[in-house]
Amino acid sequence: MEKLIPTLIDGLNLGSVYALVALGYTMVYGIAKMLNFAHGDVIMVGAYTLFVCITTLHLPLWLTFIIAILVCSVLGFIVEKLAYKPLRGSSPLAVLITAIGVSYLLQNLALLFANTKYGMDKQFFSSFLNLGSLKIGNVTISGVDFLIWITTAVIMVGMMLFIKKTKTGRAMLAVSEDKGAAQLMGVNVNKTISITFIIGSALAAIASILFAAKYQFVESTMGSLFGIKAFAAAVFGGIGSIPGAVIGGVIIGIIEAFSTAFLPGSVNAASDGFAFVILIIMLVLKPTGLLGKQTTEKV
Amino acid sequence: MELINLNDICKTYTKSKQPVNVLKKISLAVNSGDFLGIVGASGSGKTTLLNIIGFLDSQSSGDYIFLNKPTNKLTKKQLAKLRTENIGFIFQNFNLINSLTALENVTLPLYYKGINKRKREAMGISALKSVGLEEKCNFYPSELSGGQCQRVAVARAVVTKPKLILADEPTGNLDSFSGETIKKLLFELNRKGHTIILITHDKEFSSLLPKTATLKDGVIKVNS
Ligand SMILES: Nc1ncnc2c1ncn2[C@@H]1O[C@H](COP(=O)(O)OP(=O)(O)OP(=O)(O)O)[C@@H](O)[C@H]1O
Ligand SMILES: [Mg+2]
Repeated sequence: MEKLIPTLIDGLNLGSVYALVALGYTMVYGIAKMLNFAHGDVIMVGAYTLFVCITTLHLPLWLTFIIAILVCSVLGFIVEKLAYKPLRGSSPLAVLITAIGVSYLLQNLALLFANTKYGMDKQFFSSFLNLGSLKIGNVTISGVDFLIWITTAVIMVGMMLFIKKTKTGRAMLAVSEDKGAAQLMGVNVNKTISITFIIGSALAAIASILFAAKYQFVESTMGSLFGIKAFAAAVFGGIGSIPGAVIGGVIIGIIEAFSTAFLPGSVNAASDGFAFVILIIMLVLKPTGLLGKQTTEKV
Repeated sequence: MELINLNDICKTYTKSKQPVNVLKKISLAVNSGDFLGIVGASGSGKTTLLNIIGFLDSQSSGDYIFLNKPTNKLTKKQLAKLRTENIGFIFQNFNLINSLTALENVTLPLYYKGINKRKREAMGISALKSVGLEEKCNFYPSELSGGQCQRVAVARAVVTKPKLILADEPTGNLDSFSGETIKKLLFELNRKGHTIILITHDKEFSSLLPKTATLKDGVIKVNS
């Protein structure tokens, strides 16, 4: 029983990180209509960037965060321009395979880099963000936990307002619903897609900061598992929906934490899989996901 | 003043290595203030022609002079600018953005003209007023009838005060009553000075138009 609250906290932490990655997934899917399988790897690049800046270059923390966000945003922009934009209009399968290719490329580049520079792929951070902790009864919640939850909540609300209220946000809505009509109203479709990739990658960078602050490691393959879980989260919540991505991420994080904590050792090795079982059940019950809209077929 | 001059416009698609000539040497002049109806059987190339006129598609050969300037050498970007500055579109399926309200839909084109928020709203409301929907500003398309949606689409097409309005079967999906409202609106817009080119299958509608052109097998014939 005493495991309950700490497990919930752990689930919320993991879930928030998934949620931030899922946000990028869902936005890119909504607007560019493609599954960017390389999206998870952006968080890995963000984490390595942090590692280099903190451990090797000893930069001040605030600068480190800015650099990680910049590196990821530029990466998202370049990947879209070089890999996906030339394929616009070609078959979804070609785009998907390209995305998988980009994902492998990023992983292998990171592996090469880490092996040459540090001799090993998996690296550990010394604890770089210490925000104290709060003790309620015999439950301890760290400042980093709070930071993770608050950041995720603020970003979710911020993104919803951004999409609904700003010029770029409305352009995104218009492009996601009807590219042709958007174009006729003066929306620059290519620019809108670029901006979406940049924002999605910046959110992945923020996810990498929170993840590194909490779990304090980085490895070249961390992105693919993140990507798959974030994808599951986005589909669970209803792909294209911003609150859906966040709720989906949190639910998947909590399921994972609980299955790791409470299932017997032999089964809990498969805790990564439970999220997908839930996802499949969800898709059978409600194919559009939790908050997904029924798309009305155009005449 | 001559707004549009098409000279020997051809459009050829290649389908299974066979060339398909959809438009064959179309020559047509449209003056400022005209209200031209394009009629013809399904598949005769009406939409193809309208898309070329609206710079949504390009001709395979021939010259297109818009506002006395040849358009052949213009880049995609320049064509997009010409389009957003001068042309408003109305489609059979309304093509509204479902997650934006009527007013937000109507003001969307104004964002890209650097007009401030207060002015945008005022222009949007007055455009909605001109189609009789000022009380529906905050309604979403799903909360409006088909006829009302099309009126919002008309308001959106005219909010930027374009010289030219292109309409592809604007009454095609509407009941006859809503269709009448749209027709009245279009005549009124024409009276206010907008040039309109419209595709319609509605014989009664085309008989009321001052000028029509019939497309048949890719050849155009202007009826007067
Ligand atoms: N991308 C394309 N590739 C090949 N053929 C095409 C393409 N687009 C249109 N066509 C052909 O061009 C012809 C004219 O099409 P268009 O849409 O202009 O007809 P329309 O007169 O608007 O018909 P409707 O009244 O049914 O809307 C059709 O025979 C169509 O098959
Ligand atoms: Mg047509």
